[in-house]
Amino acid sequence: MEQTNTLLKIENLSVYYGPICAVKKIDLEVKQGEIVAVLGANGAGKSTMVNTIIGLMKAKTGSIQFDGKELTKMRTDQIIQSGISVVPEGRGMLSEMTVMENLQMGVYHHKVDFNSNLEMIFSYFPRLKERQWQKAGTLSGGEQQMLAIGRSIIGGPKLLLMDELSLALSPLYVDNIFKTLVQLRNEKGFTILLAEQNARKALQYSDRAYVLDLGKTVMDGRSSELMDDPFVQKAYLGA
Amino acid sequence: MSSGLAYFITLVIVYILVVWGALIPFRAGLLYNGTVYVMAIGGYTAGFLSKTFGLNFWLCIIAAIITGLIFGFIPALGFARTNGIVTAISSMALIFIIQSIIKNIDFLGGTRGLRGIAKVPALPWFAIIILIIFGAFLYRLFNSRIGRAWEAIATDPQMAQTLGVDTRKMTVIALTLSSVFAAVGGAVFAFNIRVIYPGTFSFTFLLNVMTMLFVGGRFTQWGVIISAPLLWSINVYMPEAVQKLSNYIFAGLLIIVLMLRPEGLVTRKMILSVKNFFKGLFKKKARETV
Ligand SMILES: Nc1ncnc2c1ncn2[C@@H]1O[C@H](COP(=O)(O)OP(=O)(O)OP(=O)(O)O)[C@@H](O)[C@H]1O
Ligand SMILES: [Mg+2]
Repeated sequence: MEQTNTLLKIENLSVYYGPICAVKKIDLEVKQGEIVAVLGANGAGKSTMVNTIIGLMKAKTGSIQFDGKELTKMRTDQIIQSGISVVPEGRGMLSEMTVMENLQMGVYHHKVDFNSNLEMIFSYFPRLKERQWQKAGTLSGGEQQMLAIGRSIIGGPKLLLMDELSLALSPLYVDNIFKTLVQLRNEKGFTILLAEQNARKALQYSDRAYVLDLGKTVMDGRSSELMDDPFVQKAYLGA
Repeated sequence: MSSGLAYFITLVIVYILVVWGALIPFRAGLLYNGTVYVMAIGGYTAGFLSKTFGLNFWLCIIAAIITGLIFGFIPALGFARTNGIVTAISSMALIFIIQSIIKNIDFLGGTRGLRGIAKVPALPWFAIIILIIFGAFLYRLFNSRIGRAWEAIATDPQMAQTLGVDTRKMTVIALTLSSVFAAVGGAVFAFNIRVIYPGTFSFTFLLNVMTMLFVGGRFTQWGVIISAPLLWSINVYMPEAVQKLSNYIFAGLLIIVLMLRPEGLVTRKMILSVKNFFKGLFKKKARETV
């Protein structure tokens, strides 16, 4: 295995909303080129973790190391600039702006060749090319998810954070989206961290996974092994 | 050009410039009411330099741009940390503050006003030149990386941050550039009216500006080009009895338009279809020549 460099390392992270503790203790690691899933029920703290990585929430304790930098001390725009992109929960469409403008916002901070990357995005998501002048808010849910993904990868980030990618998508579509992610990782070398409620799909398409319960990482391992784990099966796969 | 018409045209251009100044923060999702405050500073800068040092029109405009940058930038540092209603109210307070300051500065004429601003015969033509330059600049600005960042902030500030936009920096840029438009508007205004009082730059003026912005349409830069001459002609070309009621008419129109046509007279959709129409024309031409 050539996946040796640790790209993201979270240690002993805790996050509070005022007095409410949303994340108690997260320890997690993502290596270069991996697809790692973070599984957890509603309210487990997945979105809070994602938002803390990108600095929208401040950590109370712990550290987040990314590519040699300590993120907990940085502003959101600096963190994004350092090479992280996000597909936020609910897709974060800039609904009054066109598909093209949304994609342009994806390279806001990245010094890349927009046009050649645009061709790359269109080759993965031809539908976006047809719709490039349409307002993002008028796209279908699935198309919006394509746009959110396209926008997050067009700047060529080192790490992709995807919060609840499968939300409100049909099962067939979820498979398509995850297959595209795997393809993107294989062909373009992206590193991906997925926060997912849909444990079955997330385990099917990821390399490794963490289980988050009440703000704590309680299990981790290879996805294929977790899929056979009796506890995971009972709690998350409805077996 | 008759002097009445010249005065009217120049004043309408002043309004367009100041309304553009008010539009920029709106496009960036800011409820900012400080445009009239910087307009006063621009007006007094130009008026004072013309009167005291006999500086010519264009140098006065440049001076107004510089003071606009400075006096837009300083409060912007504060507004970068406030939001919504706080920004709206505290920026309005700037109008109070500047009025009281000017009243108490002797060399600016205090409450008696600043007189003796030079007459510029070609003023309406100069104003048109300024309008075109600033209009083109604004068009480029709204279609630039900065313009897109503003729009993203206006739509969803958290998502804008998630895409790497430094929202505070963008707020400061928006308010600073907005102030340049307002200051230049104020300078042209001073040369047009030639006597300025602290009370000129008042809440009534702000009401006029906001009415033109909202009636014309606050999502494009084109609306005010229609609404400013339309509304201001009420004050000039209507019978005196109607003119006296212009404050009521403005306020009434503002409410009616906001209720019936929230986006204003000129909407984004209209602009888009005009653009597509022209694109279509060129495409057809291209096809015909093939
Ligand atoms: N703004 C907030 N203020 C107070 N508490 C919050 C806030 N946002 C989230 N929480 C709480 O923090 C906890 C974790 O929420 P979070 O959104 O991170 O969960 P999640 O794992 O993403 O859940 P889901 O799968 O439903 O998206 C929940 O108990 C939630 O109620
Ligand atoms: Mg969530």
